[in-house]
Amino acid sequence: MTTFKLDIRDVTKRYGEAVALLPTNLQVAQGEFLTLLGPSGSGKTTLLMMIAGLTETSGGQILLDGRDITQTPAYRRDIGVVFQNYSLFPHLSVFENVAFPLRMRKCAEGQVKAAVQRSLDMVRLGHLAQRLPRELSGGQQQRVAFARAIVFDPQLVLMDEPLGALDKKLRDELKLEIRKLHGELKKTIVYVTHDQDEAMLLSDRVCLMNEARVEQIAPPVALYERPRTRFAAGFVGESNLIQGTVRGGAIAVGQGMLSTAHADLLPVEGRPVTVLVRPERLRIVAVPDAAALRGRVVDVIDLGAVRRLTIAGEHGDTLTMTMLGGDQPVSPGATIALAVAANDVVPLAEDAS
Amino acid sequence: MKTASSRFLLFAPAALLLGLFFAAPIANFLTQGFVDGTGSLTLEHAQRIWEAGTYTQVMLASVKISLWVTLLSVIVGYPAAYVLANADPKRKSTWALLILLPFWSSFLVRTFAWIVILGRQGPLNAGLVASGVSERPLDLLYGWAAVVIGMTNVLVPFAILTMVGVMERIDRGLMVAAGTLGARPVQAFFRIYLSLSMPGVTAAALLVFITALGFFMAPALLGSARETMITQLVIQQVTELVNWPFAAILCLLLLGTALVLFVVFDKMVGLSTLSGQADRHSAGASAASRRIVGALGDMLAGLAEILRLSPPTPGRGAWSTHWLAVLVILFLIVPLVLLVPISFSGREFLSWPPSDVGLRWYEEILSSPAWLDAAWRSFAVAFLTTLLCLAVAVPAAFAFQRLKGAGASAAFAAMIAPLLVPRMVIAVALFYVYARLGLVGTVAGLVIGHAVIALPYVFIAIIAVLKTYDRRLDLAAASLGASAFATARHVTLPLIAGGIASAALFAFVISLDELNVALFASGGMQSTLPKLMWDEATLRFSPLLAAVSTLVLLAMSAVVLLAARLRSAS
Ligand SMILES: Nc1ncnc2c1ncn2[C@@H]1O[C@H](COP(=O)(O)OP(=O)(O)O)[C@@H](O)[C@H]1O
Ligand SMILES: [Mg+2]
Repeated sequence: MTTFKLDIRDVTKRYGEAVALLPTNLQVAQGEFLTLLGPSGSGKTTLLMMIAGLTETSGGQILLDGRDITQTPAYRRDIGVVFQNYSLFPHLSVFENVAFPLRMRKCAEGQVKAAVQRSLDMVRLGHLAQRLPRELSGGQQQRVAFARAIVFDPQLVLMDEPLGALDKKLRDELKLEIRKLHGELKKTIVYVTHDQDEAMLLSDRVCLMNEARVEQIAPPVALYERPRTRFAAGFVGESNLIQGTVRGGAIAVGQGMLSTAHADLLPVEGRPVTVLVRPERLRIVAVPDAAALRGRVVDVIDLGAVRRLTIAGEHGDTLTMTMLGGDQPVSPGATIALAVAANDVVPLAEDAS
Repeated sequence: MKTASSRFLLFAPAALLLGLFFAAPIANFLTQGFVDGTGSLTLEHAQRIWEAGTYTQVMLASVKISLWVTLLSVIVGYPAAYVLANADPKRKSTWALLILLPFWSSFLVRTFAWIVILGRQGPLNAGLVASGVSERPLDLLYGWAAVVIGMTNVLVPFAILTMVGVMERIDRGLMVAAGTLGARPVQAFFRIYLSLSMPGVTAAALLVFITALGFFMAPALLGSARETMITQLVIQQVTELVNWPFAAILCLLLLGTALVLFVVFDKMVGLSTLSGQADRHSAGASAASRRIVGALGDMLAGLAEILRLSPPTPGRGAWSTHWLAVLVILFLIVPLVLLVPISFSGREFLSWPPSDVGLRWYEEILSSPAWLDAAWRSFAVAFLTTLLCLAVAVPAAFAFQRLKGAGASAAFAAMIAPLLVPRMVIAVALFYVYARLGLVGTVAGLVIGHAVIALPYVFIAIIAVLKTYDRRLDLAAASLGASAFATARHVTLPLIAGGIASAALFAFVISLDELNVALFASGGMQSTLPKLMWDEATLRFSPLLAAVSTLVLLAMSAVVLLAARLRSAS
């Protein structure tokens, strides 16, 4: 049996009566980039802080390399943490900030110099080593915090919304940089964000969290293609949720029938079901057949590259559809027929409540 | 539009008060040290002081005592300040009240308490004899230790409040971050927290030292002739020998020491740290001292590890600090509490435990015209002082807020200047001019003197509130058609009322407790409460003073609690 880099077993956190994290299981492989994605208050920070040893667990075990570290104090865990507000020591220079973990580990001065320089060069800040943190821009501070968290070659790096305090442009830039650094360093990283773009771009796997528990763990594309619940479908990407009834392994929607390649996910015959169809997976068909939905175009937004249609479906729901621009124009008021491939019709479980 | 001239007008009351009754009198008085009978310049007095030798000895002794008091106050105050600064909001107000109550209670009363505790018939000796540690009562009073303990007790709250201002601005996340980087809690404390709190420690040390240097109550009441401090000599020169030149030179020595320290402090840390504001030099300690302190932290952490003192799990281990803080608060409060039982003693002299319990002393006070008269005068003076301080400080604070750069620094330094000058110097200088203005023995003379002394506290309290006030609300009011006056009346003042109330409290309590000015300017007839208490105590400490102290404590606690209630209500 392979041991995971990080193995979280039934870890839970309560604050008095309130539950911040229900018993949770999560495994992270060596070198993996795992993102905890979820709305604010879903327990991401709580979980991360328990891994770091900064919050006590209310139950469960945390294993690092197969070793139980649940009771190990933070300073002995060998886990690097990047905080949202960076937490750089304001009285220490950039160099001393990055050197701090090495000094705590009583490294020789020569080693410290070399490692700090290497680390700072990696985040392209080698030339600013003598500055104080307040003399740096937000993006630069963020990179110092990253350098400080990796300089001591930790077993694991945790990052809690590290880009949260930056503006959009800088965020996009640093996102790519973190991706590149992960590729070079091959560190195991657990990253917290509420931004789905960040999660999609960076992660090997995404752990979607909602209301103090794990909703779904999957690679980004799988999470997009085959979310299991309404919440997952709605949180990642845009979605059409279509109500229907199970009939003969397909879904009856008003007059039409949608067939699905994921019939194993359907409830029993005759039960109501919600299926997900992503807006870009809908196609307009000239010759309507049984496997089609009908509707009237209500609104067209032409963005040049793409075109977004709002369609009032005959079955009652409103549908959103995105298509490439440049084709023959569609005008509001037109009645159209829509088809979708069986593989793109994803039955959803009702949300666990 | 606010113009430079209207800003100038807002500063005018402050400039007038400080110019006429602070700067000019001090300059006038101090020059007396360097003029002879004919009015020409001379170094004769300075030379005689130097040659007499005793004066320089007393100065050195004063510095030595003050240094000890400073060291102890900072060390004793640090854990309490740490706990207060890091307490969660629910507990914080309780901690704050426990520390503020002794802070607000009278200097004189707190000094009295040590006469009781350390006296031959006091509870400490009673305890020592009863427990068999000592056969006879020990001479704990009238010595170096009694003076240092008494002064430390009075000055610890100052140190705490100064340090808390800086500690509250230290990001708690930094200690957490240090933990994830491999620092044990002790190491993180020494390498991060201590360094970052250094400006506060330095500021506290400075304030305590300068205040201690100007003390005369504790050495006079708790010490022997060997603990005579420089201010006692000043009083002697003025009241017994009427030797103004000598008094002036001694005051100059005192003032010079204070100013040199302030300049050094401003260069190193920045004066504004005193008001708990900007951190121009937040880098804190120098690299060298940081390395030493860091190494010390590593050593202690290693030691703690060996002794298994290190907290095993995160989030724990604050207990030892809490206990230290509780001890500090007991050290501050117990002496005050001990005065209460003494006040019910029916004996002529102090004894422990109190016997012949009754209300004898209270009856004596309440039927004594002298005490009632002094009490009435003290409250009237405190009330008028408060009004005067607010009238002067509020406009100045508004004007100050719009200043920037060098102008702001200069205005700030001018407004807090009375804080940097030992009170004794202010009091003697005022006495020197009051004599010629006919203000000796008048309520006006007392009020003006008290206002000069309280002004810096009031000013700092008000600018602190204005700092937190969102000026855009004024702009919004103006855009809605409110005139400058209407804006101030309907928007600004109601919002800052809580802050103004605490500033007023400063003025009131400082005035109520002020002894220096009354020592000279009350002219013997127009005595204030502290002056009368002081006169009594220098003769003999009887349970009567314990009863007066109890009443003063009650009155001051009532004022402080009322203010706390008002503030939380607003
Ligand atoms: N110290 C605390 N005391 C009480 N409740 C807390 C505390 N910290 C977090 N919580 C609660 O736990 C839940 C999860 O919080 P958190 O982990 O910070 O969420 P996220 O990081 O996903 O936004 C929230 O409902 C929050 O209110
Ligand atoms: Mg969070």
